[in-house]
Amino acid sequence: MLAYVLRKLAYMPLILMGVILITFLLFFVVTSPEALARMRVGSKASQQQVCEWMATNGYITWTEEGRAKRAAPPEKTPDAADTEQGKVFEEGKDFTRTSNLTLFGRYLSDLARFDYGLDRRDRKVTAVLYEGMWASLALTVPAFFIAEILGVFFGLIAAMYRQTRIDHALVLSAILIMSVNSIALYMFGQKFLAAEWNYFPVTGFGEGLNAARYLILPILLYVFISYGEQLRFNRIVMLDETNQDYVRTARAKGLDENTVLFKHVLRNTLIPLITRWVVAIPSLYLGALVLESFFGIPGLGYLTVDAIANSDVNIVRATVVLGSITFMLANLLSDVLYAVADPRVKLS
Amino acid sequence: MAGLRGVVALLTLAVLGVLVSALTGCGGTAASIAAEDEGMVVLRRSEGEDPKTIDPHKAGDTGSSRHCSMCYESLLEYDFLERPAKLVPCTAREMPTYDTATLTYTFKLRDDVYFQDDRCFHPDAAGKTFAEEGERKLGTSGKGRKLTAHDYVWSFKRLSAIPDAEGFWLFEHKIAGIDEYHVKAMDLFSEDPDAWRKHLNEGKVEGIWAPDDHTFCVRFTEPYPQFLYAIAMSYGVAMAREAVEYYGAEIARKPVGTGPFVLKRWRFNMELVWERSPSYRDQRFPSSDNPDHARFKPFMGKRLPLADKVHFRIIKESQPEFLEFLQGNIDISGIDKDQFSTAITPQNELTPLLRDKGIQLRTWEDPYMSYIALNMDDNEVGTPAGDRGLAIRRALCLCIDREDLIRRYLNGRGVAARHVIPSTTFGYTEESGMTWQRYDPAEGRRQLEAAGFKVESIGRDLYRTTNPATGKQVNVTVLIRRNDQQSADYAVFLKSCGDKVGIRIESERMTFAEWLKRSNDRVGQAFDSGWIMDYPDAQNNLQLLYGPNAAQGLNYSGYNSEAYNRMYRELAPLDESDPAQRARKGDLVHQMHAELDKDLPWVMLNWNKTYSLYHSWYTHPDPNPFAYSYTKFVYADTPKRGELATSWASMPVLPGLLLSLLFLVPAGLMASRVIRQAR
Repeated sequence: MLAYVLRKLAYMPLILMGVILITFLLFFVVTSPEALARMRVGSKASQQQVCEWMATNGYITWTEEGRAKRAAPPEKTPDAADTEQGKVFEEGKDFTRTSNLTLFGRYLSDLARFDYGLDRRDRKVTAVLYEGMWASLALTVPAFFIAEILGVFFGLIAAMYRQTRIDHALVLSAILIMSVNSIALYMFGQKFLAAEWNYFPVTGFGEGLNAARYLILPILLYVFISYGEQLRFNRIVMLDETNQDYVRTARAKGLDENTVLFKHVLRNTLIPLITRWVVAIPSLYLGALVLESFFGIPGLGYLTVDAIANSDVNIVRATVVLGSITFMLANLLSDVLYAVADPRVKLS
Repeated sequence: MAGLRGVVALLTLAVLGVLVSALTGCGGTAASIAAEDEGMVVLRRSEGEDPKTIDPHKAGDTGSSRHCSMCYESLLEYDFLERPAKLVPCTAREMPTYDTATLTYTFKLRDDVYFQDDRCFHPDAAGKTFAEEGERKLGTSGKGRKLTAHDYVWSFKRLSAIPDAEGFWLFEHKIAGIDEYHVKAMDLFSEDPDAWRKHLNEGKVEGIWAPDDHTFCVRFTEPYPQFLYAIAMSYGVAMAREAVEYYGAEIARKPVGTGPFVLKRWRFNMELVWERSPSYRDQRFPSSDNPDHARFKPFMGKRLPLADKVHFRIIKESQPEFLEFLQGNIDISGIDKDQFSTAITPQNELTPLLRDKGIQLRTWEDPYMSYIALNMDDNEVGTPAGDRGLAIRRALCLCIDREDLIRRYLNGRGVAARHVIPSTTFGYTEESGMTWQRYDPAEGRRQLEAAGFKVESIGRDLYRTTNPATGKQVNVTVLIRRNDQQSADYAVFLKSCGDKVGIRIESERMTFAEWLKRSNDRVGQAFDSGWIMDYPDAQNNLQLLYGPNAAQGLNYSGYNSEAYNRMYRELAPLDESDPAQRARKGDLVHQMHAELDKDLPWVMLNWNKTYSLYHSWYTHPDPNPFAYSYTKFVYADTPKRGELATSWASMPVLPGLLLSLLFLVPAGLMASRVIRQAR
């Protein structure tokens, strides 16, 4: 197993490099340095100021001609010369662009030094991610575990009482909940449970334990909305197992239902469940975008979307890299857990 | 069996526990807010997102400017009571004198303005930085020192010396020597940081100086009457050199100014809390006998700021923001289009729900215009297309049903635009409205036919205009600077308008960053654009069509009319305070509109209209969209808010009980059945 883990770990930098390259290309093809400069110096800034920003940030280099032109006073045009144009800086003549290879090298060198730079609000990206991550985890970890425990439990019940009223009731409730748009449910929950009936705060977040009161409603809604999908998934997984010969044998041996369910069936359903749980880990720290936005939870859910919309290259780079690393580690963890959960699985 | 029963019992208990804690332990926030605010005057507001920065030199958006003005002060500010907007001294003792011979403004500063107490002024912090000392030292404040004219000199130099200053465009090419100073600073910034710092601290700008601690002078290369408005924006404030050096990049989150409020807390994505600055000078609420100002009578002569604390909550979505407002947890609210029908009746009045809570509505026209800039260099719609291009531009102006646009997409929160300047700005007259900027698709079709296009009806209200030269339908592509559902609806609207004159209007939707690049490079036929006026001077909007500004990125259409350029150059330096110049300026604004009506580089769409809701306990200032420093004049009757909000926050038992039963009864029945069967 150790050899397998080491081999997987050795692949990681290569995969990561691929991800970084794709992100770099996608981002810089879509967003030019001029656009980045405009986002920083404002749409009202002159072309000269845009170029100055690009030069100080290493995207361009002034030529001698460009240097002379930028330092020269603006031409005072007499009224007769109405075809005047403002100072225009031309690529090739006044400045040269830094090659994409150089930019990529710089990009990699920053990453190697764990220097993610500053975000568009001049905050350290690492600090932004660190602060937001805890709020996201405060929401997603309890919500995820409650939803999973309930899902496994009801899935088990539905499977055990297959084709009975209990099973029908559970499946029907799952379909009903899945049929409703989750945003509509968030809005309903917020409007009635919080605003109309005042059982919960409408939005907000607090420090330490005070945060709990703000988290209960979003967690309840998350669990409620996840219920349908969880139940259907777990029911099918459990059904698959309860039809196996070993379950019949166990029952024939006179084992009670409790032992059959919790010792034999549940253990054998662990592989699909582990896959699901472990793959969910990266999304836990990245938060729940809509819930966070609706309930004012200062997590990371909104951050990535906001960063893409505002061309915040450093945040995008950091979340992509962290997301890839976490996802690869989660995959590795799931492989290891397969071997732990099922002795038949050999990692080689 | 005992295990299964145990699990069922545990789950039932857990569900019950959650419901009980939900019903008893949580509740709304009205009571806790009332308790927190007791004994203080507290303003409670919301923002859609965190300010980008509280570094005034980088604050280009309204949110950032609003927060900068809580803490930083300019030499001048807008009068709180007078309308139309008028500048009055702020940290200046009086309005500046202007020497027309040397083009120099001279400001005399007040003697009682101090920076807020802060760690950066502590003797122990000398030579150290926040990065070295950390948060723990912030509790040991130093006494804020007196503001001097040298602080303004240094701040103006900083605005010119940092590469990402948003406001440098206001001074570029205008203040004597500032361009040279700027270029040298840019060279040093990345090459030699120490030399850059020396340049910032010791370098001289020919046109900015302080003869003594109380006198600040600025000399221009050309007349620049808009300068006074420019310095009333956040770019014209005084920053303390000690604070910038101590905090470094953190100055964007740890502001130290001379203003009325101190930033107590900024939790990203959550809240900003400002508190009254103990060292704020003795400034009083202005007095007035004008009957229009009667509602401010109780505050006249009172010391500013009126509020002890201003709490901003970051609420991204419109529904929760509106619900918090209805609960009384926020004093004022705009009205998002999704909440519009809840707040406003079709008769444009408040709905009973809001009226019963004593909520009041205020509406005003914003100086924000939406328009489509047509690329005048384009071979089909621009100048190269000659009369046919002009006919297409006329047809485009005539086919847009602006009232429908405002009704459908802005919930009526707009005014059809026929002028390039808002109605509240000097120079605006009804007569100067552009005649082609109206809805008359039949006239649009006539114009196209007169220019030689073939216009044929292909259905009800559907036409097809063919260019005889190519035999193809006339096609115009508009670049839209958003990529959301609203922009998709807007694209459909534009297409339906084009169909009425037979022009196929296609839309390319993209991110703002991409749109900026395409529009600055003028790669496209038409650019969906918007502009918020920076200061109440017609020049600010008319510059958007000045030919040389095509290279500067403001004139997206690349319009370059000799006559217009000449008139703009004459208008820009005119001083409205001089009666003769004022009269001439009025004439020029009229003539420039006539010139634009002749060439039509833009399709005007609308001016925004703001709908603001506020609670009965909140004293709303008269609107002035250019002023950001009014928070110090605003009052909220906090005990009244506590009383009312708490009374609105009743917790009915029945819905909670019914909801609990809805879950618990089936769950209980199922559990008992499971247990029974398991036995």
